[in-house]
Amino acid sequence: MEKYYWSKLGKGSDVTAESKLKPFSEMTDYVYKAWNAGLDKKSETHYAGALLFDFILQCTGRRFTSDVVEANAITEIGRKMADQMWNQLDASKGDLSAYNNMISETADSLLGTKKAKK
Amino acid sequence: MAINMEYFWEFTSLIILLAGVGFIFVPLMDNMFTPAEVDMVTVHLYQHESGGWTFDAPPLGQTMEHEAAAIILKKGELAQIYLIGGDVIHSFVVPDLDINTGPISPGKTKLIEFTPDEAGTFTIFCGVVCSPEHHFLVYKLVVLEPDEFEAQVGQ
Amino acid sequence: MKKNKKIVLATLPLAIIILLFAFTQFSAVSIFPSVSAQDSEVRVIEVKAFQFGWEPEIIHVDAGEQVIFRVEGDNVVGHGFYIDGRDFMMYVPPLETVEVGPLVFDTPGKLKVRCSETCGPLHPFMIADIIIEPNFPFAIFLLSALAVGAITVVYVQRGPKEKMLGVPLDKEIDLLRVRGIGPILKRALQWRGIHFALIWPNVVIFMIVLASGFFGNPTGNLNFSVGVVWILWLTAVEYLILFAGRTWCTICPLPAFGEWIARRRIYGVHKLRKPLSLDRKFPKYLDNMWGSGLGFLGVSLVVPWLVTRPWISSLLFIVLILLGVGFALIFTRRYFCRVICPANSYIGYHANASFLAVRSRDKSICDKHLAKECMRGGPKGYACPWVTPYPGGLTESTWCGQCYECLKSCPLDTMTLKYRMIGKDIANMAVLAKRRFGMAWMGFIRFNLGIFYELVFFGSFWALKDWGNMGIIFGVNVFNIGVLTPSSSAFMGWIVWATIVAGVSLFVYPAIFYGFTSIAKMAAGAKNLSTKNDVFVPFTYALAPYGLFIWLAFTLNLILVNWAYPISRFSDPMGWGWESSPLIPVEGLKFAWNPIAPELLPYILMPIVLIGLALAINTTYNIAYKLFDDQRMAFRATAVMSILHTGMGLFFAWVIIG
Repeated sequence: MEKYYWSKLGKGSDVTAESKLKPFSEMTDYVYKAWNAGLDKKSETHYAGALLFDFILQCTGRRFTSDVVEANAITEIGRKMADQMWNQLDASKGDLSAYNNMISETADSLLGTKKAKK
Repeated sequence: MAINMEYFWEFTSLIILLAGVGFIFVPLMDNMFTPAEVDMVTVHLYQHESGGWTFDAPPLGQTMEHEAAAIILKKGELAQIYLIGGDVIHSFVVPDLDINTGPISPGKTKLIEFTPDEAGTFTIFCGVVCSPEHHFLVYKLVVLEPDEFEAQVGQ
Repeated sequence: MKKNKKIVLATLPLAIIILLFAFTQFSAVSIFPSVSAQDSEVRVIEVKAFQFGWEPEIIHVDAGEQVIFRVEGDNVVGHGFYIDGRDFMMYVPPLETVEVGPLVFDTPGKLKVRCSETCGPLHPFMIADIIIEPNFPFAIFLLSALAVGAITVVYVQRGPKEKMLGVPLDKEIDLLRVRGIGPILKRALQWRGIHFALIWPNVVIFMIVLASGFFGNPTGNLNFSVGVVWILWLTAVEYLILFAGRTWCTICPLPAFGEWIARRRIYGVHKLRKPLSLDRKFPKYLDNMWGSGLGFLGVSLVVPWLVTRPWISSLLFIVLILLGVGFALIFTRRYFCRVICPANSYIGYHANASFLAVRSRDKSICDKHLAKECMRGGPKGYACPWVTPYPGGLTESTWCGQCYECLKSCPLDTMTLKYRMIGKDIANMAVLAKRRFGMAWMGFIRFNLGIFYELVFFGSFWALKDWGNMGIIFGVNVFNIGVLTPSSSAFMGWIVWATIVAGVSLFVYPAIFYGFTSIAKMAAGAKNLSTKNDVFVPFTYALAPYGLFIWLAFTLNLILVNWAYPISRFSDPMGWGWESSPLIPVEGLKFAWNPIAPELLPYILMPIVLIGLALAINTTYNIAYKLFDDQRMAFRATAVMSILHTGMGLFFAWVIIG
C-alpha cells in the first residue's frame, strides 16, 4: 500500500542498506517518545510525518525539495503510519509486544519491497 | 553522535549567554577604569539631594558618609585628589589651603596635587551653586603629623 | 516621458526645500535693502536661565540687527548659553549675569537657543526659539507643504493604478536570490544559530543598561541606560522600520530569555516537543493591538520621566524582561510581544510601510502544501512563535516579528525576504480592516505623538515640559528614588499633560479624522457605505507611512543634536568619569556635546515630512480605489482627506520654523 508508494518516491537508488531504514526508525522512535510523554496525538502525528520527510531529505543529501507532491505524499504517509502506531500504542495498555511486532513487520516489508524491486 | 553535537552546541551557547549576562557586573570594574594611584583620593561630586559627595580614600579603603566625611592626609607628603564630575557642575574649594578647582562639568575629571605643610582641620566647600541644598555640601579635610597619621591610618 | 515624470515627482519635495534653503541663505541685506547692519543701535535682550527653560521662551530679532544677550544665571545650578550655528558655548554661572554679543542674525528663519552645560535631567530639552524676522522661510515652508499636497492630488487624479508615487507596487526584489549577497543572506538566516548570534550583543547591551540605570550617574545624558536607549536606539528603530521592517524585533533580547527557557533550547529545535511552560491558550479577545498600543500611550504619559531618569528606564526594562519570561512560561509563544510590549505596537503598525517584508515566494506552492511546517513546526524550525498565524499566507507585516523561524522550517524553501515599494499591502489590508479599531487608534496615537514630541522636546514651551516632568529637577538612580515625589500642584500639572496627550490622541484628532472621512464619503457619493463601518478605519491606514515619516524626522532631530551623548556612553556607561570601558577598551571615544548643523534642521526635517505627506495622500487614493472601485469617487474622497493631511503638514511646518 502506502509502503510501496514510499519506496518508489523518497529514496534514490544509491542509498546504503542500513540507512534505508533510518528515516523510518527515527520516526518510530519519536512516536514512541511522544506517546510516552502524553503529548497531543494530532499535532505529534503531523510532526512525525514531517520528521520522516526531513530524514528522507537528509539521507538523500538534500536540504530542500521543490516538489510539493513528494513533500505531501511522504508527510501524509508518515502521518498515517504514525497514527496507526499511536493507536496501537493506545490499545496495547502497557504490553508493547504487539506494537514492536507491528514495527518490525513494517520494517521488513519496506526492506522486502526494496529487495523485490532489485 | 548527532545528538551529542546538538548538546555540545547548546552547552556552548549557554556558556556564551552567561558570559553576556556577566556584563551586569560592569559597575564592579570601577577600580579598573578609574585611574588610581595608591594614595589617591577619588571624589564623586553629586548634589546633596542625590546623596552628596562620595569619597574613596585608599588608606581607609571605604567610601565615607558625607555627614562625617573626611579626607585624611599626612603632612609633608604629596596628596592627589581625583575629582569626578557627577550630575551637575560643582567645584572643590578649600579656602584655607588656597585650593579652588573651578567648575567641574559632569562627566569631566580633574586631578589636583598639593603638599600640605601644616597640620590641622580644614573645611571643603562646593564653590558653585548646584542645587537647592548646595550649602549642605561641606566636608572636613584633616592633615595629621606623620606619626599621628601612621598611628591612625596605618600603612 | 513617463519615466521623467516619476523622477520629478519623487524628488519634488526635496527640490523645493533645497531651493528655498538656497534662497534664504542670501543675507537679509541683499533682499531687504532697507535693513542695514550699521544703522541700528545695539539692542540688549535680557534672558533668564532656569531649570529647564529660558525666559523669554520666544525671542524676536530683526534680520541684520545687532543684539547683545544679557543672560542671567539660575540661582541653583549653572547653565550654558548656545545658539544654533554659532561656535560659542557660554558658561552661565549661577547667580551671575553673562553678556554675549554683539551678534548679528543675517538669515531669516528660526534658530534655537540650547543649554550647553548639563544642569539636570531635562537639560537636553532646555530650548528657546529665536525668530529672525521677517520669517519668510516659514511662509515658503507653508507654500511647499501646500504644493506637495496639491501636486500629489493632481497626480492621483490621473488614476495611477497599483502605484505609489510613480513606483509600481507589484515590483518586488527577492532578497535571497539577489546575486552575491542573496545566498549569503539565505545561509545566514537559515542557520539555527543566527537568532542567538544576533541577540547576544543586545544581551550585553541590556545588562549594561540595567547596571547603569540602577547604579550609575542619576543624570540621564551621562548614563548609558538613558543616553543610548532613548537617543540612539529610538532613532535606529525608526530607520530600521523603514528599511528593514521589524528587524529590531529580530534582535530584541527582552522576550529571548523567556523563549529560550520555554523551548529548553538556545540553539536547536528540541527533539521532544514539550515546552517548559503551561502552554495555555491565549484568550482571543485580548489578542489585538490594544494591549501594546495602550502600553505605548501609557509610556508616553510618563515619557519626560522615562527618557531622563536612568532608574525609571531600567525599571521598565526589568519589568518587561520578567513579563517576557512569565508569558513564555504560561503561553509558550510570543504573546508578550504581541500583547504587552509597547514597542511592538508601533513597530508592527509601521512595518506595513516598510520596504522589507517576509513573504512566501510562491503562494500556489504553499496552497498545495499539506504539512505546513511553518505553521505547525517541523524538525528544522519551531511553529511560528509570533502566531502570525500562517507565514506562508502572510499578506501584512503587522504581526510578523521577523524571527525567520519559517525560513528554517519550510522544507520547500519557499519563504523569503522581499524588498518592494512602501505601502504595497496597505490598500489590501485596509479594505479588510473595517473593524480593526486597534490599528486605527495606533495610527492616531503615533501620528499625534510624533508631532507632539517634536513640539514639546524641541520646542520652547517650557510649561508643557514641566507638567510632564512634574516639576522635579533631579536625576534618579536606585539610591535617591525618594526625590521623585511631586508636590500636589505639580501633580495637577501632570494631569493637564496627560489629558492633552491622551485627549488629543484618543479623542480629538480621531474625531477630526472621522469628520473628514465622513465628508470624503459624501464627496465621493458612496451612498451604500457607512462611514463608521466601512470607510473610517480603512482611511486611517494612510497614517502608517505618514506617522512613520514624522517619527523619522523627530528622531533625526534627536540624533543630529545629541549624537555625542550615546556615543560617549559606550566609553563611560556608568557616568563615573571613565575614559574607556569593557565595551570599548580604547580611549579617546568620548565626545563633547556638539550638535550637527542645527541651524539647518528645519530644512532637513521638512522634506522628510513632505515625503510622508505625499505617501499619505497616495495611500489614501489606493485605499479609496479599492473601496469604491471607481476612479472618480476615489479621487474625490482623496482630495477631501488630503486637506486634513496637508493641514497637519502645515502644522508641522509651524512647529519647526514658525
